[in-house]
Amino acid sequence: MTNLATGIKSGNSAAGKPLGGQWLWPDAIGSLRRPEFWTFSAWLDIISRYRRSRLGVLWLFVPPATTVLVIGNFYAGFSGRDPRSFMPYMGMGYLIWRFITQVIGETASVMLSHRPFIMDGRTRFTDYIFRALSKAAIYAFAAFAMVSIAFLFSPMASIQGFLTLFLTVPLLVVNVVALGVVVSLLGARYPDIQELTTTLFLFGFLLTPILWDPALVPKESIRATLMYVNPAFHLVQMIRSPFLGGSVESITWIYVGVMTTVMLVLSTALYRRYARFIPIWI
Amino acid sequence: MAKLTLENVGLDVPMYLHGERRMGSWWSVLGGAAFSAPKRQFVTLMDSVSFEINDGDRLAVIGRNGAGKSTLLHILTGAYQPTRGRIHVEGSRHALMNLSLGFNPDATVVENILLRCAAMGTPLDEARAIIPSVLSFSELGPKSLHRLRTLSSGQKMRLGFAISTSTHHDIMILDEWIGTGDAAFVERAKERMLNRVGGSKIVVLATHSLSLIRQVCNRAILIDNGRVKSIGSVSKVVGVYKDLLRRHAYQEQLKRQASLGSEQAS
Repeated sequence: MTNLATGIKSGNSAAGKPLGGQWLWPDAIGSLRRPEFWTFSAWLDIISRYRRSRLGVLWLFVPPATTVLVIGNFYAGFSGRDPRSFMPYMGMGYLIWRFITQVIGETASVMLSHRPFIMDGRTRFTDYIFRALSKAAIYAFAAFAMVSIAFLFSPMASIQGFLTLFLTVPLLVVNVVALGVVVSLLGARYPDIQELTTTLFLFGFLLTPILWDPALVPKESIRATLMYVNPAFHLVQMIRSPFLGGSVESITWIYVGVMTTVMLVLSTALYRRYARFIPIWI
Repeated sequence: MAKLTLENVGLDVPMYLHGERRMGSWWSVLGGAAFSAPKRQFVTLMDSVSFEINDGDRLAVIGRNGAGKSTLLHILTGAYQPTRGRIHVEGSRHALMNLSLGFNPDATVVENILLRCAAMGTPLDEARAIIPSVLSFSELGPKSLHRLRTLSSGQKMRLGFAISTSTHHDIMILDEWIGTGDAAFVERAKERMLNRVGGSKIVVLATHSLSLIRQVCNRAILIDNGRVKSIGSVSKVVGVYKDLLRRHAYQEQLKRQASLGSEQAS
C-alpha cells in the first residue's frame, strides 16, 4: 500500500521510521521520482511574483538582457575589447555566478522557510533543496536565452561549443546540489550562515572572472592564488571556456574533480549525521 | 491494519535561553537586547510516554497550554525523532496541523489546490479530479480564478481544510482544526470530520474543545508537563483534566489571597 502523503510504501514507515532525513541518496532519488512539488511550487513562486506587473514573465528576461547588452557593451568599450565577443563571455560568467549564489543564498534558510512542511512530518529534506535549485535554474534558463543570442552573433559561435554544455553543466549542478545540502544543514543549525554567505559573495564576485580575463592576472601574485582557491572561478572557467571555444586549464579539471568527490562524500556524511536534527533546530 | 505504539518515548531539545538583564534605563534595555548572547541548553520536552492505539481508535490529546500536546503530535507525525524510547507506526500518516500550509498568495485558488496536492504527494490527475469537490465544499466555486490574497482568512481556512481532508489516510493527526470560520462551516466541517473519521482508521486530535472530544473520540490522553497524566476512556480523562484545572485555579486563588493578605498586613 502506498502512502498518499509521501509516495513512500507504508512498509517503510511500518518500523516507525521517519519518512526521510536518514540517507541523502534515497531521499534525493525519492525527490527526483516525485518532482511535482518542487517544480510546480518553484515555477509558481516565480510567475506569481510577476503577476501584478504589466510585462509579467517578460521581467525574467529584462535583467539578463540589460546585463549582457548594456553592461557588456559598456564594459567592453571601457576595457578596449570587442563587444561582440565580450558580451557572451560576460553573460555566461554572470549567469553561472548568479546560479551558484542564488542556490546557496536560498538553501541557507530553506529549512526555516519550510518549517510548516517539516513539522507536518514531511522530512524528505531534498524536496526543499531541489525547490531552491529549480528556482535558480529557471532564472538561469532565462539568462541563457539572452546569452545564446549574444553567442550567435559572436565570432566564437559554434555547435561544438554549445554541445560541451551537456557535459559541463551536469557537473556544475551536482556540485551545487551537494553544496546546497551542506549549506542547508549548516544554515538550519546556525542562522549566521545566511549573513556569512552574503559577505562571501562580495569577495567571490571580485575573485570570479565575470568582468575580467584571468589570463591578464599576473601568475604568482596574491590575486592569482586567491583566484585559484575560489571554487566559483573553476566552475565558471570549466563551463565558459569550452563553450566559447577556449581550453580549460588542467588545474581546473583537477580542482573540480577533487571538489566533486569531497562535496559528495561530505554532503552524504553530514546529511546522515545531522538531517534528523533539522526539525529540532528550526 | 493501522497501529501506533509508543514505548517510553522521551524528547530532549536544545533551547536558547536569554539571561536575565537589569533593566535600569531605556538605553540598557536596548543595549541588553542587542548584545546579550543567548545560552544553548537542553530541555526535556517529553518523558516516558507510552501508549498504543489500534484500528478504529480516535484519541483525544488534551492538556493545558504548553503542556506538550503539539510536541507529542510532532513526534507522531515523524517530524521529531524521539531521543529515548521507540515509536512504531503501521499505516500511512497524514497531518493536518497548519491549514494554510504552502499556499502561494499570488497564485489563483485552483493553482493553490494543485500546489497543496503536489505538496501532499498526490499525483496530478488525482489532484485535478479533487478540484471540483474542494471548490464546492469550500463554497469558493465563483472565486476559483481569483488570487488567494483576495480571499478572507475564513475562506482560506475553508480551502485548506477542504483540500487536506479530500484524500484518505490510515492515520490522521489533527491540531486544533476548527479555528475561524462561520457557524455553518464549522458544522459542516464537523460533519465531514466525523465522516472522515469513519474513513481513517486512527485519528489523533489535539483540542481544547471538550464537547468536540465527547462527540468524536473514544479514548483520551492527558498530557501535563511533558508526561502522561492520565489515559483511558474520554469521561475518565476529562474528569482528571477538569480536576487539574480546578486545582490550578484554586492554587491561583490561594496565591492571590496570600498577596492580598500581605498587602493588607503592610
